[in-house]
Amino acid sequence: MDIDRLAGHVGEWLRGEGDEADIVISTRVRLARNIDGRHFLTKATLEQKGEIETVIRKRLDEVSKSDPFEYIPLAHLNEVDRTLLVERHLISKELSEGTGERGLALYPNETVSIMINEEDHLRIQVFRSGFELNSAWEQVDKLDSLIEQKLPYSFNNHFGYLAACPTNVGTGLRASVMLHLPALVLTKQIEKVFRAVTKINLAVRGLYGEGTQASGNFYQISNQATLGKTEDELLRNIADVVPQIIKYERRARESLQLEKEKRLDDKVWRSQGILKTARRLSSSEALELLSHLRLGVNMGIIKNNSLQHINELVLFTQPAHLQKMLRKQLTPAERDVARADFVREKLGEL
Amino acid sequence: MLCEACGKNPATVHITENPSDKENRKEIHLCEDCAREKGQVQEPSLSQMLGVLSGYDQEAGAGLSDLACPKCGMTYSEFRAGGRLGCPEDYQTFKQALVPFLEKIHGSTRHTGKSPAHLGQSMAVDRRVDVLRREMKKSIEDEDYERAADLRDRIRQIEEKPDGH
Repeated sequence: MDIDRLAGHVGEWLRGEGDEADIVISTRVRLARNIDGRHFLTKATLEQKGEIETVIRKRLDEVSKSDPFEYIPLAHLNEVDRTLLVERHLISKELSEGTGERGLALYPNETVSIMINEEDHLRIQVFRSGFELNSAWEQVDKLDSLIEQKLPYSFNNHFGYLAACPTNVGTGLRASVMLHLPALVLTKQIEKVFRAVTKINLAVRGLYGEGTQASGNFYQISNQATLGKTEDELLRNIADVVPQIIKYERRARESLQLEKEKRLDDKVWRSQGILKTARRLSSSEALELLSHLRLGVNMGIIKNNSLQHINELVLFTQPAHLQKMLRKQLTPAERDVARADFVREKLGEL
Repeated sequence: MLCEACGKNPATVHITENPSDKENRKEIHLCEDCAREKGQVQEPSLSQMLGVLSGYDQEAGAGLSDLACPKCGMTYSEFRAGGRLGCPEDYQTFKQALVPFLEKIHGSTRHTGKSPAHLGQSMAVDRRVDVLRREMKKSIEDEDYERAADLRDRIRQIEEKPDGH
């Protein structure tokens, strides 16, 4: 598969469409699965890893005859290409930096990605733009059942689907919803929301999942437990909470809009000013400023821009995308200059 | 949340005083610096940290450190250090230590979700009944006896005629 083809556009799930797309960026549902009768990867030799990869690849071909996966073997891919896949959320950092045979099976529109030989033999993920838990679950459930017919999974009557890490055992399901919550951050209410969310057993993570810092006011809410509840119950828990958070964020936006001090307008216009004029931009600064610009577009303060365009900028200003687009390797300092040039050009185009 | 001592830094250390004493239990939230000053933070060893972070029950795991899985060779102490199991068999081998851990992180130790189609109807029925039982218990706790009675009838129905809807 041609990685360069990916670099020039955003995946379908970043199009800024779907339910509540002004606040909910995307929805992801993944299942952790391991093949029956084999060691988990922790105890698999490199040779066994190779066998597992071959078997899975073959079976996936059979499953997806009418709707074929594109397969990207990762062991021989260079670092920029691997990082590009991480920036698109198609693979995890862990898979990118792993050893031995491992791969990614992908639908060309990037709504389905299967990581092979990450922490588990299979991590089947479905992505959607906006708040779309049900349709994401339906697709992943169907695909999972199809794969299972060809490739029996490790399953135990008591513990359910067995995973390498006991935190994933049972359903193996992790559903996460990525939210953009700039107004709750600006009004300093975000901590309160997180305390409430963690109390009901949900986790809050940053833009790139486990162990990452929240940046650009992007947060992922996901289920913590995977065992003892049905998939429906786990999804319902998130489905019940997210609308509450959306309501708080909207309320915070309204109260900011009414402020006489014009903090919101100031933040948005300054951010646009810097983005349009800066000569150096680090990726974290760009993300922060784009986050405020996004808020400005959502609030009708900035009129000549769109969510899709800003989503594109968020993705294309990441290190690997930038280098791919410019077709050369750059040091971090060179990237900061190139990023500022790129953003000026894109915002000037409007 | 800000540190309760200095009021400046975010509170990252959360201490519960008298955790088992309901009346005198008190939660204190401190930043790293203030907690260290108060002697609440001692530099833990890496393995201690992993143990604490992952919440493995010290008691349940006591005496298991040399236990090894006959299939994959994973030892309990290796698992404790890395947090990941070596093969499906490990769920049996280390069951004694895993059960309290699973209880802690998932609030349950029994799967009630999707099961492989080839395991057939009986398992699906088991699970459906499990879910309904749990809902019934909750209804009783909520004093919603009408719903509880309704759920009881549905459970009976499923148990008598598993394939009827």
